[in-house]
Amino acid sequence: MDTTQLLKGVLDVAVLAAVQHEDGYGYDIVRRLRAAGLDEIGDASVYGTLRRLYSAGALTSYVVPSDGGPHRKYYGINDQGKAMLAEQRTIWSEFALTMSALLDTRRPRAVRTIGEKA
Amino acid sequence: MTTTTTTTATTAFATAVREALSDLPPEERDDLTDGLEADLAERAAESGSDLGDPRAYADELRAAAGYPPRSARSHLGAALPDLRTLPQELRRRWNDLVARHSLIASLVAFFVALRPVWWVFRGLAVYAILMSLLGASAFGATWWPIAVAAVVLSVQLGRGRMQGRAWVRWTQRVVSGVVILVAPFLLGALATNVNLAMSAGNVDQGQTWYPSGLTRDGMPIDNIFAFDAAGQPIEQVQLFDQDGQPLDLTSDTSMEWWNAQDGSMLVPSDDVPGRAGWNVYPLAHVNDWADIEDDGQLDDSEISPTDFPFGSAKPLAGSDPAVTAQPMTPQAAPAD
Repeated sequence: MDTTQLLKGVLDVAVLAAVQHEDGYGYDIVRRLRAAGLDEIGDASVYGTLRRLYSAGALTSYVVPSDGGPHRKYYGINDQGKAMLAEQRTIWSEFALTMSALLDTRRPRAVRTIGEKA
Repeated sequence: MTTTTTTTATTAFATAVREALSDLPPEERDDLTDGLEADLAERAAESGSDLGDPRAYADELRAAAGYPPRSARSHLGAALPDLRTLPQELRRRWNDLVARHSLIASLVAFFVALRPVWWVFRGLAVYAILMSLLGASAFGATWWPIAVAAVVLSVQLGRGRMQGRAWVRWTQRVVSGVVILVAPFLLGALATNVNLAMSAGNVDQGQTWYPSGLTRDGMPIDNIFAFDAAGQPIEQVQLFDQDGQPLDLTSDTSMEWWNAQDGSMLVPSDDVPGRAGWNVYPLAHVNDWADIEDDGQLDDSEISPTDFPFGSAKPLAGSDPAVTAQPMTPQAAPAD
């Protein structure tokens, strides 16, 4: 599997994380994700995800008018989004640990419990 | 210069993206593409002006946003609706409409409840079409098992049994379409038949007018002149029909006179005990109008026998001309 496939599963949480500290508009968020190391992410995917998260109620949205330039639609995280992010964070950690253990090249050893004779 | 080119390219790209999303409701499409030009401009500014394929961009955008992919478009371009997805598209729009208005939803629920009526009608309609193609009457009793079979088949198809093969569904759709097209004519024919049946039943109530009294082919008969086998006139003859009923000139036997077509007034015979002799022919006539108005009564002097149209008729084959009926004038009893 390549990162594209992996990203599809975690796009939601990645986008939520990208706005957790600061609101941002579409391309802004793309930049943050790329800066964090997710080069493969397509901006259309990010925009679509923003839209979906907003529809789901995890993000707020507002338009900032600007002089001499286009209006920008900003997205920010709300309480529901924060809760979702926290939950996803836990799930991700557990999942990551599980996958890492599974992918471990060393042969699995029998786990000894306390009290068990060797 | 470069900025201008980039702007043109961006605008073109953005338009193409919007085009690719044209199957979505306008609100949603706008939500998705609101900051598109600006974002594209920024990206182009950072990483060069290669924007890529708008279609792919649109697909990625819609997928991330949770919308189903758009099916392959025809080569004629986005201006034409995609016929293959049109049924689904219409259905989706319809569902949206229903979801938004509870009144429409109630109406829809009502008509959905009436579907069985449609199934029965469809079965009967197919039967009627079949009968008319065969040249048989749909109302005749001979073929009713086919009517029952057609209705059962239609109902079972409507309920969703017997689905499975694609040709079954297609045949069902075609037949339903034909029935809908032909329905006005079927209903028209039905109405005509019902009307005929009802008016036939009304004959007894006098809706079709028959002249009262004796008629021949609808024309009234005023008098009857009888001749015997030898061709001699019969002065007074009593006539009865096949049921033994008197063949009265008029069914209203309480009438005192009858207006003939030639203007004369005919009266029944007095000689039938107990009733007016309207079945004794030929009927005598009143001499003068005025006599009736006089005293409302008629006596014998005011009445005269009606003349026969001719003195004698041709004798029937095999009859003896010497044998006569009672002659017009009384004569002595025949000598022994």
